[in-house]
Amino acid sequence: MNLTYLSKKLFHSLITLFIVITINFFLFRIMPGDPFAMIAKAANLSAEYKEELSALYGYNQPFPIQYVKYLRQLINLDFGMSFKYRKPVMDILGNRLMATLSLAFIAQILAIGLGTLLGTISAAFRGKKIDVASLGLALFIYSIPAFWLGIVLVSLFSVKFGSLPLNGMVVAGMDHASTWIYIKDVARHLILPVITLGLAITGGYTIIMRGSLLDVLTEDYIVTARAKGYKRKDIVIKHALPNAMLPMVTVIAINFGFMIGGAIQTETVFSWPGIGRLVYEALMARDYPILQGAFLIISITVIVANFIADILYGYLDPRIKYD
Amino acid sequence: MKKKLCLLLAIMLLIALPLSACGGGDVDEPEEGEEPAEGEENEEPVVLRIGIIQEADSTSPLIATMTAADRMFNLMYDDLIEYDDNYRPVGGLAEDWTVSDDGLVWTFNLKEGIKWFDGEDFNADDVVWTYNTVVNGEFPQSPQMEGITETVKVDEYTVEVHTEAPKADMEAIRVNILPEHIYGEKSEDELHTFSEDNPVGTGAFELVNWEQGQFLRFKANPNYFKGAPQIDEIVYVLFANTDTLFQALQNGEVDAVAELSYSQVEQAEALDGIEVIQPDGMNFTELGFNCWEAPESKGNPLMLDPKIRVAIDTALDKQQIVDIALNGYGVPGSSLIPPAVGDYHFEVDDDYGYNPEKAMEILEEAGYTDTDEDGIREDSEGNKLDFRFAVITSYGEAYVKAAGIIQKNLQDIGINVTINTMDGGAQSELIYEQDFDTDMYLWGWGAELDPSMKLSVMTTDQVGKRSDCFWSNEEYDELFEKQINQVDREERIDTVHKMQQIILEEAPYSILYYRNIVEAYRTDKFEGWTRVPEGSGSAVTQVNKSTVLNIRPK
Repeated sequence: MNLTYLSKKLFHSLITLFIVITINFFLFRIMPGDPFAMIAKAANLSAEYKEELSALYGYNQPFPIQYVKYLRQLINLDFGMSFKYRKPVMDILGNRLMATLSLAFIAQILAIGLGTLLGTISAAFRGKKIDVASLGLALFIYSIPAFWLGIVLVSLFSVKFGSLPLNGMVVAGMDHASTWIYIKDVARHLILPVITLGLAITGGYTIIMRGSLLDVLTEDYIVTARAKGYKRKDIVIKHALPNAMLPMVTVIAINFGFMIGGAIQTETVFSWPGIGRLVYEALMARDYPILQGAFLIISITVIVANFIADILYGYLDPRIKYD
Repeated sequence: MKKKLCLLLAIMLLIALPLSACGGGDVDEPEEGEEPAEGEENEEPVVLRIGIIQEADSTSPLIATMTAADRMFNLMYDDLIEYDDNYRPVGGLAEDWTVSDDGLVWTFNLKEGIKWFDGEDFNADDVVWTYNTVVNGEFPQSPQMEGITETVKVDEYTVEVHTEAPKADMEAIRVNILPEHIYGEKSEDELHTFSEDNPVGTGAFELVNWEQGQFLRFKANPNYFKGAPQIDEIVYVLFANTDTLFQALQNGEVDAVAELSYSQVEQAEALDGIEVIQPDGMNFTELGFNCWEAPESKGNPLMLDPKIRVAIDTALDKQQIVDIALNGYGVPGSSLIPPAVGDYHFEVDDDYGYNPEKAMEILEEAGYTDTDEDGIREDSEGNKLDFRFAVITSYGEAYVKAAGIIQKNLQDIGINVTINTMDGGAQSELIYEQDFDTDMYLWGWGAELDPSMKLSVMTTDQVGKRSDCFWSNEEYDELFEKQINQVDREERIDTVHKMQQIILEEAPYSILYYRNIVEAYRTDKFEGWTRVPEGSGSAVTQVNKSTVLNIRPK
């Protein structure tokens, strides 16, 4: 890997980001519906009040000026003001983003770990009973709808056999005497949603890992390694696994972006205060500034995740060079 | 390079293995989990937890429009006049009040010694500022204040409210009095965006923390002028779905639920220590018709014939709609003001109701017959009774189920209906922005104890504004103006009944049902739940503060 590769990838990411930002601006200005009716929460306003609101949200200026203003605001991390809450979008999005990121990140790690493990076992013992079992398990998990799994977990571990929290991120209204107690509280609340969301993606990872590893295991250098007398375990883990990880990196990167906005089922079951639910509520209330901010954040996450994947690629596979 | 690769891999596996192991191991955790949270709370204050599914939109009464916000304001703020447990007006911030002989000047004597949360004295300036601001601006409460010209300060604890004409609903005004010392310096522009994180009110509970999307936490106000609450905190816990909300009630995470979904009622009733009540619904859901007579209306002109609308109203099996769409948790609808409001509700006679034969007779008499025998009636010029029906699918299944029954009922009398499904925003757009491009739709309203607000929706003034059917009737408009000035209650009831009769005869709406709101609360942990109105009303989401002031741990 070299600097040119890094800087080119960075450059590409920035261009993508700029395009997304621009589309994001125009998309919400050609959306149907009278924004003023939404802002005022009533139809048919008096002309003066419309003017007042128009000035409040800066809609009274020509497009290009609005666009420049929008760019300048973005640099200051100002995403405008929510129609529904009449508060800065950033205030509302910030907390939600943290909630979503912690959920998505931990669920990802769980899924990557479990998926890689199951996939590797399956491929290593291809055709054996253990392969059938682990592949079967993966397919089973893969086909369970996340919301159903969530509800089942809740009724089992929150109502019937245990008292794991089923709602929100912390015990509602509790004072947390120290950060440590806060983290413990959040961790307890994370258990069920993480299992739900993690398992939901584990199945896919297992299947991809298995397929990719099987491919690699048929390559010539593996045969060579075997001929040299390496142990089977070493061949799988040391020789085959690194190459088999390449497709996984891509899938994980795509999945991560998707999870930021797409964990809505899990968020709804556990009332997790994440971005997915916020987007849904904003859509229902046609709160365009919030949607705009959320879309941008989701896009940035996808771009960053892909950028990291690109770097990992260069690292995992030294053959990848940029000319 | 190879070494590095191995290292990377090893790290990945290292992270992954224990995590996946503990992922599986979480299953054992519940046993451990049982003690901490509850154990630690023993020494803690008495907290009442109420599960909600809708969050308020703002902490400022000048911004918020959602019912969830009104419930929050009920805890934090006070009005000049409130309702007692039998819906009679009693003094809130006002000690007493008188009205001049000509009915144009109301004098309010305010209670002395009340303090805002921040320690400032409450006085006439706060009332004067709030009333004048709401009257002169465009705020959610402004329609209630119609007819008020100005509010003036007489002395520190006396204000006069002047009106153009006698105002029958003066005692029904529910405008939260806001602190002039905080809001006073703001311009009207600023008021449209200004909100406090910890609003300063005079109420029984103070909002101390609002974690958006999670919970709202209120602390009791020990100096509340009607007496300190007997609990220390109220926490509204936000749930994203009704299933886990119910499970939280079951396992004690919440002590009360403001609105149980109908499918959970039987299950909830079977639980020990939980009381389930069904207060009469202060609401109605209607099948609305496009009654807009303006040339730009895109509605089917046949819908302008009241006979067709009455026939439709008569053809609907509303009991079946209640049974299927609401699982039976409601009352078939008739007049505009729901029965829960009391005397203002107009009782229909026995002739009213489901009667397909009568509906067909009405259509026959009006000249709508099926001449080409395709099952759909036509008028004399061959225009078919074929209507578009907008149905919102995003508000739960009741609308969708009701729409199916309506379609079938109308088919039985020779009217064809095409259902177009959409979300709430799209429907508003059809009506308000695309020249009313549909013929029928479903919509619902909450009702207030004073009938003026609901009655005003149907006046000609409101066409294109709050009216959703764009119906207009001169006699109705005149009666509306009349009732608003009728300070004599009996006379006013008479006029209000007449207005509802006109609506039944003209049928701009077919009122489908009044839906029950099912509340559930724990009686094993708390006592003092108070139903308002006494015996039949709500205990969790009531118009006054009775429950939150009476409730105490058991």
